[in-house]
Amino acid sequence: MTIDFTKLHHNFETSLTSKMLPTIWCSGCSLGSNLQSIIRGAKQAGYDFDHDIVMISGIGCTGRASGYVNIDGFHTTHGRALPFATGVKNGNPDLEVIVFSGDGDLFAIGGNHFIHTARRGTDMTVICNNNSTYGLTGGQASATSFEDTVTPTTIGKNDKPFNLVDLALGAGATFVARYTTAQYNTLPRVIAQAMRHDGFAFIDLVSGCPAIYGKRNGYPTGEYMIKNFKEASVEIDTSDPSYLLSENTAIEFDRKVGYTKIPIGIFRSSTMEGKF
Amino acid sequence: MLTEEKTKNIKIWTGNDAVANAVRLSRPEVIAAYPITPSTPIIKTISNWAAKGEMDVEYISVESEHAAMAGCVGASAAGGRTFTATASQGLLYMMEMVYMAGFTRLPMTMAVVNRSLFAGWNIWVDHHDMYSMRDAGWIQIIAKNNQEAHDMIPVSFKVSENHDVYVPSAVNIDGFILSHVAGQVEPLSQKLVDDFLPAFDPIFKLDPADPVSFGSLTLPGRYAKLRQDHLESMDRARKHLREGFEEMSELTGRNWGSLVEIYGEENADVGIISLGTIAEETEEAVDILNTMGIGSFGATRLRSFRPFPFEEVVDAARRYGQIIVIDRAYSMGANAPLVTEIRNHLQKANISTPVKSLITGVGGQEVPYTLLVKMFQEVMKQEVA
Ligand SMILES: Cc1ncc(C[n+]2csc(CCOP(=O)(O)OP(=O)(O)O)c2C)c(N)n1
Ligand code: SF4
Ligand SMILES: [Mg+2]
Repeated sequence: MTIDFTKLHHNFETSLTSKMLPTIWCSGCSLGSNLQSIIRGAKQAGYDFDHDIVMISGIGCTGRASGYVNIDGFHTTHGRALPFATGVKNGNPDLEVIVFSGDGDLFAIGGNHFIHTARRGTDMTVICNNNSTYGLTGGQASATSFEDTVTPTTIGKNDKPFNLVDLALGAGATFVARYTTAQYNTLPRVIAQAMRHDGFAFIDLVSGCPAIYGKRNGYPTGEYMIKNFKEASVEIDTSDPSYLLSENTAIEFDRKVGYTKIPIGIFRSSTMEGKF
Repeated sequence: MLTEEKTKNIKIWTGNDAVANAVRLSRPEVIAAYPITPSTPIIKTISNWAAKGEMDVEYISVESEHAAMAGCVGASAAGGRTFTATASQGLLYMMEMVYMAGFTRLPMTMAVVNRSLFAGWNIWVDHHDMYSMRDAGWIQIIAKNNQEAHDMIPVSFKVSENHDVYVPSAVNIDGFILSHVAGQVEPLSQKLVDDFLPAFDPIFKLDPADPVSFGSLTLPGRYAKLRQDHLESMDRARKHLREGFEEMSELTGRNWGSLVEIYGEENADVGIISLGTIAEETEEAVDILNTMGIGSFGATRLRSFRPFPFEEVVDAARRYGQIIVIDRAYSMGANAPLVTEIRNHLQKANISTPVKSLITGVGGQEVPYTLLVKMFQEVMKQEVA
């Protein structure tokens, strides 16, 4: 059967660049749903896609997003999304700058830029599609791959992954949240809040790459992955200050079954000033 | 003879397989690498062997190419035989360290799987990446097929580590056309490589028992002397590469000739000079052109770009009535890199053979021999000022 893509309709088609569709993303991947959450979040926050926003990404499966949305975008080089975004924000401070990029892009090859952009507190919203792997190049280990998992470049063992929430808090980000692809209803609200936040806002968007990483490491399909995210997500209790301890923000993963614990929620925001 | 042919051990390998297998046979001690298309399968294969204990090497899964080459610089300075592989933006991103390896004179081998540069995003072959490291003080070898890629790796290690040369070395293969297309490769044996390639014997290494310090402040006079010394070593590399290629030819029975490979009519009216896979396509085009009754055609393929094969190019210019040089890259605002190099040297050697330029095959643009046949005829009409 051949599909006539010109006859298909999409809920958010006015927000997407139709000539770039269909996307290159695998079925079951987190990316389609995550991009939708971002679009819904930006709309909820009241931004005008034709005038207010730019989306910047690095290179990776996630990086493609900047080419799919119908807003100004720049698909920069691998790792350089944040310094590029810093330039954009300073060049035109009226723009709302969203960076949507992968864990490899933002925390491996571009890791240095993350801590410094957070430290400077440049006003932007950074959403990491954290699938714990280099999806685009074939599922190699990234800075957030879990210790006992298998990738084409790390068969025996992985080094310890970064806890992105911990890292962002330590580097001085003033809005820090974590959710998974499965919190599809909550995400737009959180993204809108992050965009309206005046300062460096970071969302660790825990995502999956079922086609490559998940297949080898406990979540073989998109369907399983979403169930897994739902079951493993634990809402943090901000009334108990110990929620900020590294051991309480860390994600836990078991190669046989996938995620076993994902602390989710808003870890820091301007409304919580003075709490930390 | 026939029975011997029959028992030949032939593998069907991609260019990346051919490189990875030759690297394993060369027994490197440290590999630090970061994935990038189309070079990723090389490091993927090697890290698999390392993890399974099938290859005795420290494989470092680093966070970027800059870290990869910095790791290689450190490993070579510590006295280990070192390898990495990259392509395109990866090579650009590691460039500060590429120069450091070159100018610090640290032997190592790097596979560069040639791919175009940003922007627009394009993953296919051209030679902009290769030319970007032209002046970094590295040997640059370019293979035309998977077998040559395989055989050149031990030669690269050997010449790089030779005390008379002592500079890092890159082996280039065209992205996808070689890296991802499987073809027949006769593997080198471990014994052949062990006999051919002696253990790395560093002139200097970080060794507390015999202290050295790399990278100290160097005043102008000494700095100039360092560069002059490097230049002379690269000049000597020509001889050692020729010997390496010849020795490899003798050991394998495959004729890798020397710094260049000559095809077709040696004294042709028109000689085509090029690098890499487009040279193989050129061979087909030359055969066709020679049946068309429009003059005689021949080809000369350069196997090394640095050091540049001066004598061989002069020889080609003496043999051919006119020359067409194919470049798979631009130099904006000037002539393309390879044709510039050739014209420049012929002028110095006072040779007036006309040299014409054909730039094609960038960003993976397909250049079949049938198209080359047409393009060569067009280029022949170029006026040379
Ligand atoms: C300088 C440079 N090095 C390497 C690459 C190859 N490369 C492209 S995407 C990528 C990793 C992507 O991983 P991530 O950022 O996590 O994105 P994902 O594909 O998982 O969404 C790599 C290594 C490149 N394009 N540029
Ligand atoms: S490779 Fe992984 S991250 Fe990339 S589109 Fe497919 S499932 Fe998603
Ligand atoms: Mg990723």
